[in-house]
Amino acid sequence: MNTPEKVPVLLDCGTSYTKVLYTENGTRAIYPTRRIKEYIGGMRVIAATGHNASRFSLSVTNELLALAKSTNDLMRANPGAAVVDCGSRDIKYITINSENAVSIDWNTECGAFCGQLIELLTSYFGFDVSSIHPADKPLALPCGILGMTRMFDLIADDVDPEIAFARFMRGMADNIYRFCGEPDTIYLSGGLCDNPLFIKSFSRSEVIPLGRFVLLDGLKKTLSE
Amino acid sequence: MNIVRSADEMRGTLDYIASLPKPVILGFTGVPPDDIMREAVKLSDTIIDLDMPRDNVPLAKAEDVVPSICCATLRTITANTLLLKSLDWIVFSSGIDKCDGGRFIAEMLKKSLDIPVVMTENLNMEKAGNPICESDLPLLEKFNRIVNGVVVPDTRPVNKCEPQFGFWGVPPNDFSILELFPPQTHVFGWARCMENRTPADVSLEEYVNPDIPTIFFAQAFCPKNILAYSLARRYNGLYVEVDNRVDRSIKAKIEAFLWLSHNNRHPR
Repeated sequence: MNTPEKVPVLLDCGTSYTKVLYTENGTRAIYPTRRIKEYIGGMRVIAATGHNASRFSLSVTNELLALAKSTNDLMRANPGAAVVDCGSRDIKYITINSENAVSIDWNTECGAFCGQLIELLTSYFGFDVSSIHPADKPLALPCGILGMTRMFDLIADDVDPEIAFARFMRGMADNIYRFCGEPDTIYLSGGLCDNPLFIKSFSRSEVIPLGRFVLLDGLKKTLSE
Repeated sequence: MNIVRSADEMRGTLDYIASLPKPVILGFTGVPPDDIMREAVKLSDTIIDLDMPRDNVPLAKAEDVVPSICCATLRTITANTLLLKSLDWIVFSSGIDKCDGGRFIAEMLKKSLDIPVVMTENLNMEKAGNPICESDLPLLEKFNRIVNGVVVPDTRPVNKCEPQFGFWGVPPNDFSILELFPPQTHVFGWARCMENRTPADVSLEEYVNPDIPTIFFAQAFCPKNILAYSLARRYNGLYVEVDNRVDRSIKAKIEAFLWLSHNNRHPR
């Protein structure tokens, strides 16, 4: 019996989700990283990016470089706008100003588990985030973990859980806005592009979602260089 | 506290070291005055740069003397000094040419060690030049030569190069950060002062080439973070603060900054 040929792919193997680009036909898929071993056997990983990249490929591009390569033209066309990748466990941003000066940072601690926390809380409460109104005032959050503690304090004070959660989201959004230099425009990358409450919680920036495959596009560019 | 600035001010110690049985092992920190270093080298058979990390010396040992919220270089000096039992004497840069932390640590070590600890200050302002900092050598090799040149100046000829990038700062505790840069990277900051043999020259320490993208590096908990942060803002550089080892997010930031700066260097 012939062994089935493995399918060539590029991976953005994040903490919670793995984004896959099938290079032969250009199709894309998303799998929970915790279950990636069920799928990886049929794949030939050409290159990878993301927190778990080195588990599955020897050809690894770091996430910020993938973000930079994917969005360089966009940033050049929109000086001062920030490209922000909100992951499960960290936040990264890049801006290029009108003089081509680059500003860049990767927050692995104070942005701790931003995306993962939001997903955990949403499923714990069973919220439909498309129907929750954004909060008028934020919950002051030193980081995601302490922010969650304060959110539960609000609920203990008899604040409606949806309102407490909206304030938590607004606090997250305010933190990200400050972290990336208070830009007028934020181009958002990552799973939170699918969360309308998160996007509406940015009160001082226009947020333009780029989707979940931004890093994979950057990885693809790396290979074509 | 008795800080010496020339070999003449420490004749008694030099005579004592000359009377010791061979081999004599010297430890030093920073960039001591040239005449002190010359005399020290003459009298010593082995010379150990206490600023440099050693595989068999864990940083945690430093906590016998200094808190963990102390820069990795000072913790390295302290751990080396406590664990390298064979040291016969130490020349310890303790003035404005090094840092307040260095002075305080020298004071503490003087009291706990039973070998001579000579506290020095190097106020030399006579410039030796910066051929290594502006050469086309790989950045790691530039730093090796600058650091090793404290004991004996490195006079090997080098080729000057047009810079693409700048690296500002002290010799990092983790040299692997230097491997991220291309050879066309010029060196600024205190490392440049080291090669120039003017470690107290703050004007030179502040100097950068404003036309090239520059990474401003400082060890965590070091007051030089004030300079690194301010200069990075003034010159649109990348400010990088590292404690002991360089983690992947720091490396990623540097790689992305270098790529973006290189690919966007021309005005729109």
